[in-house]
Amino acid sequence: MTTLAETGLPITRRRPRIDGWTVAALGIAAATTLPVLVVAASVLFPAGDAWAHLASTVLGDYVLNTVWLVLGVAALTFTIGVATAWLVTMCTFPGRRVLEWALILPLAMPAYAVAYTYAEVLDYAGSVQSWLRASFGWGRADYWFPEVRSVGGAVLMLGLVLYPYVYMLARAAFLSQSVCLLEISRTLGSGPWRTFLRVGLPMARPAIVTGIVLALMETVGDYGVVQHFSVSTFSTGIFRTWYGLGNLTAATQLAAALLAVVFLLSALERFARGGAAYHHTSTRYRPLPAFALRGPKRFAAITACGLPLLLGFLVPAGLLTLWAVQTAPRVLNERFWGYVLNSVVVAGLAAFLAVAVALVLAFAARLRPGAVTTWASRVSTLGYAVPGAVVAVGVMIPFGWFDNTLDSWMRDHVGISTGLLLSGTLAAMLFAYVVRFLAISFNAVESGMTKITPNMDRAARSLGAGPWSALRRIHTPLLRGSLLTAAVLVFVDTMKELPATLILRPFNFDTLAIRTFEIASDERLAEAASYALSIVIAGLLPVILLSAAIARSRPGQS
Amino acid sequence: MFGLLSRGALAAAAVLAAASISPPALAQGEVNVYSARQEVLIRPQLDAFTQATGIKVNLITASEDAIIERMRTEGRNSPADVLLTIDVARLIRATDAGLLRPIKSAVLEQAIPSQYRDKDGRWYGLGLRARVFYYNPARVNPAELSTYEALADPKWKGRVCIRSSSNTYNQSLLASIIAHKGAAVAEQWARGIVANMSRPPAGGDRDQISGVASGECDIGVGNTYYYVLMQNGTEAERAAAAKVKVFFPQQPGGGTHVNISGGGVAANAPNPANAQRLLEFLTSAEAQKIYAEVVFEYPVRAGVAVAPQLQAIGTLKPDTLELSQLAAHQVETVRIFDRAGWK
Amino acid sequence: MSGLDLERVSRSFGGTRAVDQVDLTVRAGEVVCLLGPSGCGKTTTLRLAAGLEAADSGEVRIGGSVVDGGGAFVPPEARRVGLVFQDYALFPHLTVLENVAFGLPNGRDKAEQAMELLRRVNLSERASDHPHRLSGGEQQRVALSRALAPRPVLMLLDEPFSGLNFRLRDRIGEESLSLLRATGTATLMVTHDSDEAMRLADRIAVMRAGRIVQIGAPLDLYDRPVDLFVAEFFSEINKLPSVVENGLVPTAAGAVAAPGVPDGSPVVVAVRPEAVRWSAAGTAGSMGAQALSVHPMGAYVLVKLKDTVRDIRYLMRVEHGSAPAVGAQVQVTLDPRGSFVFPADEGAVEGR
Repeated sequence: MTTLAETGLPITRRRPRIDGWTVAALGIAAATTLPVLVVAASVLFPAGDAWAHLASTVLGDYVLNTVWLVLGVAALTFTIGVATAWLVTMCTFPGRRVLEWALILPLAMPAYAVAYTYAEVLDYAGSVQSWLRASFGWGRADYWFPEVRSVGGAVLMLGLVLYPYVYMLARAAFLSQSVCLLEISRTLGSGPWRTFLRVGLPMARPAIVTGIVLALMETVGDYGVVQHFSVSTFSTGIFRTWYGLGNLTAATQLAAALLAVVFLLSALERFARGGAAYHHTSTRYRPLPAFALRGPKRFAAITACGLPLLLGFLVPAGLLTLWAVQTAPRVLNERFWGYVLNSVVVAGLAAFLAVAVALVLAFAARLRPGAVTTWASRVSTLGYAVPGAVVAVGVMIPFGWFDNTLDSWMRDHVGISTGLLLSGTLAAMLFAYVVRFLAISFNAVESGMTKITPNMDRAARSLGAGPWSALRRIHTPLLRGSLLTAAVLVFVDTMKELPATLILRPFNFDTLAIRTFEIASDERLAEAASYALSIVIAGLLPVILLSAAIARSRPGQS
Repeated sequence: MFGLLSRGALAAAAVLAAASISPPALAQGEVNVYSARQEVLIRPQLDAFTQATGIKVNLITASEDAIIERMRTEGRNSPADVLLTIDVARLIRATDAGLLRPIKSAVLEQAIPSQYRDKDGRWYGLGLRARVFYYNPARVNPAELSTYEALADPKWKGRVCIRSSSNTYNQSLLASIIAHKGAAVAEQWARGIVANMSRPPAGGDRDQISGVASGECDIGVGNTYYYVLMQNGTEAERAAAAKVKVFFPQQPGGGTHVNISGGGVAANAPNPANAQRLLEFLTSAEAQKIYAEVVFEYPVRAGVAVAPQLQAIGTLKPDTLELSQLAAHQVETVRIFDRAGWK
Repeated sequence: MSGLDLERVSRSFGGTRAVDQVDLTVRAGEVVCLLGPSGCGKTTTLRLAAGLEAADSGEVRIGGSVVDGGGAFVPPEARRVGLVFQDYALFPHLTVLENVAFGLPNGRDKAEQAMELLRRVNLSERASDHPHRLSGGEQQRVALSRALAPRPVLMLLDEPFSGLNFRLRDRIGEESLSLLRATGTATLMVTHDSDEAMRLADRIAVMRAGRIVQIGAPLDLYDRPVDLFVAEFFSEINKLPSVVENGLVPTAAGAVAAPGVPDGSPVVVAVRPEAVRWSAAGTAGSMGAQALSVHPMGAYVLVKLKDTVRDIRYLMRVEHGSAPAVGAQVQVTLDPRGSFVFPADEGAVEGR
């Protein structure tokens, strides 16, 4: 009897429990989690009596304001994102074609720029209130006007620029939904409104929740808006504790507490989903019905979709343009184009890296489903909820340690100094971006990946393609749309990113966001407007591309 | 698409590597600056330095504590030669962390009065900033104004505009009150100001001036140079500044609270000689003039004229307090603010 | 009592008349199948009945009351219809029980009622599962129970059994329809499978190009198709072109009566395979042919024959055990019961 070995066929041992893919996923996860872990590890170090002081004074405020902010932004992004997505997808009314893509535009707006412009116009000394006082002869005590520098104001600003996450994901879900399910619901006695609530909405739930989670992670990580509005949140508290109390340990511990909450929330969502599956049970795609709206309904739909666009994009962009026009001649010089180039190239690289890493991570989770890969992807996407400056510290500490340890060793044993290999390089900066924005790219890639039937993988394997080959030849082309979405989102976010760039950048390296911030923090808003506007413009083109890609994404439509 | 992206990424990386990144700046003829002062405000002086000496300046700007943290993690391999900050407390924080080295320079000692530099030569003040009151002359008689402490008097209830207590200059002001009168009085003062606020603390210094101009409050607290910058600003800013006057409040010793922008030479500086030259240059009459005329700070060097616009709003008589005192009390200020409910 | 009445109902999409002047009645407890090729308008007819489309003209009545027509339009949720799709369209986010209870009014015994329905289709143990854990047959039963739960007057089935394998299809089809008959529900079922329609329907309506071509009991349609299109829908057909002479149509395999067709008209004789009969060579009035191949199909056998003189091929269906040997020379005759005469111009265009 011949043994298998004698036949000359290649033999593979049974798959070991830990293989290349698990290692790759773990490696990526470990690398991207490192800064987050550095932050989390701070809880192991004593922070003196800072906590006692915080607890007895401002911690309650931080918690309360953060909770309000999170609840408010969740409610606002949910309402705007879902309502506009449903109207634009399921109804026809004048302007729908334009609104369909225009509703994504606020994504290109840096939240801090929106906050600056609204505060400038709406606070007591701003043009709106000044005009009211001048027109009606009012004094300070004669009228009430909503205070823009408040928790409510911060909710509004963040909600207006973050709702596109929910809109995009909800719209993609509505576009791919089965009309049959909606029709069945109608025949079972539920009218259009109830059908939306009982079928359309719950079916899109995973997409909507993902959108809201992304918006909330960015909300808790935001520093620009809350700082400008003097709203004490965890995020401003972190910086106050670091800068003011001079206690970086206590500051990172605050960040760690924030992380724990975010982690808990996303775990809760998973748990609440229970055994329900959301992949499609219907495979028939008749064209989506379009309810033609008439009369007051039509007007209401236009208002509902137009208002977020107006407030989240047109008004701030208009004001920025107004101010930019006055200062553009001073700003548009050689250096300006250098900033544009730096911003675009760095954002492009970050987008590419974040998408590539997300692809490997998601594919590893697909090849080797299990607790290890699931946790790896969970943890490595937490960086999005951490303020950029804290991520930067989390990058600086291990990189600096590595550089100096290696340098000492080389000096002692080889007699040469290697200096700083990683610290202060572009690589460190890009690494921080990946850590910060992996959540966005991973969500987009993963949701695309789940739509590819596992039989596709099996077919590829049976035709002799190994995992890498399958990833390159099957998944990557099939995921085109998702990869594009992921890349655009990371690109736009990197364009807007400030604190990590500020702290980690190499010498003489400036971006549009840095210019915007430095000039705005010198309280020269008019001049900052030119830079802010160029961030918006540079982000606009890819965002419009993305809109078009989503519109084409309905199955069966080419 | 993947292939295309890769190629694009490689090309982009090449462009970046070629265009925007200077090689590790350790070579002769360079000096590396870590600055907490924004580029627009420090660039003119640095350009003048390069012009005068031929030494190339490499610059990174970031917020003070972040850039100090960066120096710390980079350790002995840090490329930083000079640290520039806009607050004495942060300079001393860096000094205490061992990040700055003592230098002995007759030029610096001669140019900078002793109360504005470290006695061991680890940090030096380069410019002065004074914290003053802005008031609405139509509603406030300057005769009613006197000390910082008096602003906590209940007669100003609902009439004061001031920034958040996260603002370095407010911390510095409170630190000076602690130094003069003790923590208990300082906390009393902070509570009094909170009670007198016309609105929750918000905005920057210019916003306090706009607040006074628009009638939101009668008195604002801020630094002198913002007032002058608004006089040179947009139409709306000029109009606001025209409605507001400046008052120089007194400390018990008989002076107005001042802080410095300053710098020191990094402990691990790879180009210490150039670093010292830069500091010396920044105290030269030429550079001090730029401080006065671009940033509208008060020059530290005696004999350099205050900018005429700044001179026009009044004469500064600085508090004589030892500046290291501000640093000593800085952490305490935040705790007092927290307890007083000053956002 | 009637369940559904369609009266001269039309519906166009763009320039195409998807449904053209359709008249159709489904009585309570009756099962009517809409049969036709894809694109014939059968699904649109179903959707018009459900209220998922509005008619351009004509009238739709359910349980005797007008739901569409004369300016009135009752939305689907108020029509008391049940709907089952080919892919069942179970709500993936709800459990089996929640799916069935979906259309029930809120009340204390809502879950109770749903459970009762599940018991009837032997699925009570799967009540708390989510649909993706169910087999195809189970999903179909859930879909039907869900549609039945609100006690609809009219049940609309859109190819409800085509997702099942054929053995399951027979059993579940019969079980489902007996349940519907027992509840007195009028049932309109769309299918393109004539065997299924024959087996399950009380009456069949054959549609083509938006119109109902013929409607009647299954055997009526089988034995008396009005045209070649209908005839071809139920089996393979041998088509023999010829011309009428003296009220008879001569063919190679003998003459077929063509009452009422004028002499000289060109016609096609359509012959079902089971109407082709063979005997050993030598019978008068018959045609000589050779058996080319023999295909056993279980209970019966399909034989391909070739005319020995002309180049004409025939498909013949005979009982198991009574087929000629391959290559055998046989005589062929036609059974008039399975032979139909249609005008020649038709069928040339419309054949399958």
